[in-house]
Amino acid sequence: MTMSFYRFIEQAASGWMKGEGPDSDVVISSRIRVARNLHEYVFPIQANHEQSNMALREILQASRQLDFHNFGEFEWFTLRELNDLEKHLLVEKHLISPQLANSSRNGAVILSDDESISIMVNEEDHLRIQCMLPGLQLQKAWDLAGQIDDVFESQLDYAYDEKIGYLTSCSTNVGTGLRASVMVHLPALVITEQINSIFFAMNQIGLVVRGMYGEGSDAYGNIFQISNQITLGKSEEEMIHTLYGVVNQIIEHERTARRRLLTESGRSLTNLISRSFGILSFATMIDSKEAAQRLSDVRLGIDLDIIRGVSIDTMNELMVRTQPAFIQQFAGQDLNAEDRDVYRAKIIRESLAPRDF
Amino acid sequence: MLCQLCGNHPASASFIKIVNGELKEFHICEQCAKKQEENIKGISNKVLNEQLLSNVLEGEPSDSPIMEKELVRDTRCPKCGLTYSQFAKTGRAGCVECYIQFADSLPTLLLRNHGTATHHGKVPKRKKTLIRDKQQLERLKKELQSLIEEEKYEQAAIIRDQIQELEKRVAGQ
Ligand SMILES: [Zn+2]
Ligand SMILES: [Zn+2]
Repeated sequence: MTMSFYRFIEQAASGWMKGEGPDSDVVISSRIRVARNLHEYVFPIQANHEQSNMALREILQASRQLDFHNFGEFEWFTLRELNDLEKHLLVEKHLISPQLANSSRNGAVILSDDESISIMVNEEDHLRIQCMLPGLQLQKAWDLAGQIDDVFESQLDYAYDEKIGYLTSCSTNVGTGLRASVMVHLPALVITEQINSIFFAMNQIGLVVRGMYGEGSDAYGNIFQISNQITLGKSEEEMIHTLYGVVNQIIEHERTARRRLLTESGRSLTNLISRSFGILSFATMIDSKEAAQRLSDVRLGIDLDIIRGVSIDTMNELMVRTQPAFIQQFAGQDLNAEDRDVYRAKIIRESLAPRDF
Repeated sequence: MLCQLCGNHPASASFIKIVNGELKEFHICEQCAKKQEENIKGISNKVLNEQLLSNVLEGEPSDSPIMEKELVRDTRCPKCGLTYSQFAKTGRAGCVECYIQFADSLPTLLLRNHGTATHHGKVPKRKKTLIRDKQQLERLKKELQSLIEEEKYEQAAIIRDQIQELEKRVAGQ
């Protein structure tokens, strides 16, 4: 493994996550993903070794175009050169998907130096261009992804049909191949039990909501990902605009709920947040579910100015560092579940400890 | 492998049948394949395929008498080898050619997933001129037709030249 790879797994928080984006009290990040395929080659899932290798070569060749320097420095890695831990670290940072990590043939990833751009090769589609920005910046992320798409398109012969658009491996992505998503922190809507009716309404208009941790009603940590389901029939801008509009309404609802909590039950809210901060600061064992919930409380406390001296950057970093692969890397050894709870608590304790230097 | 219907001849074709709402693949011989095709005469594969697809996707038990009794030839994509039943089951294509081979069932599938079957988004830059030229070609051909019907031959000759010019360009792209 080249030295440069370690840069990407040393830090839990990507470079792009540092620095605040718009509406960052509610929106953690925005992500645009576009799926593309090469006309000539069999799509990755159905392809044999030789076919997927040819596609990989052609895409890597195209990625060496000078035009890419406009977007920063890029490094690429084939999945084969990474060990399991390294792959899972990239998954936990959302730089690659579990599918690319676990079951791709001739899979590769091309990463920009601040990790805001991640291009997966031979995942479900030949190309998955992904751009991530902090806060609510869907349009900007789409502009970026679109420009990268244009550079690839000038080099590669895309699978495209005049009537149904970009052809993708799965028919659910046909058309624009676009998945726009935002990661939101909605503790007040959860506490006030408004979350389910809001999610139901979002499903009605073709948006999907998934818990960041856990699935469905078992979601915990109050962090959710909202994205478009439908990829056909509307322009990318329209799709993004719809999502943007809905997210803006959710932001307002969440802020209103936070204000109400603060005025109507400020004491118990402050108590809840302070207790969580206390537990995270002193516990010597903590499981992932409790950690996610308490980190959510502290994040809310920072946004409401109840907790001072801890930054949102620290929270973002802990969100990633408390995941299994990062804990294992921190410990430097294989861990069982109990060991993991010990190391998780240690990581959090050390991050939250006041520093006097 | 021997034919799963008669057991006498080597199997050379593959058929799918819905049994209790589940897709089952059968390998049968050429003779049996012919017989099965005669059985479903009058009902085009397309209709059957669409029914099959909707049954599969909705996960409903098949209550159609046609589906219980009859077999449908399972076509295979010549480029990637994916079969129609695999495509219908998963909604996944193996290559660009699949989208052409299984085109008949696409509208149903896309309508179900997206509520529409027409793309209104980005067009790759290189394809833009080609699409514009093709649309222009369509228009000119219609115009030529009506000019000939109206016996305006001089104008028709001009349009014909334009068509030839455009056709050359489209072929070049
Ligand atoms: Zn037979
Ligand atoms: Zn195919």
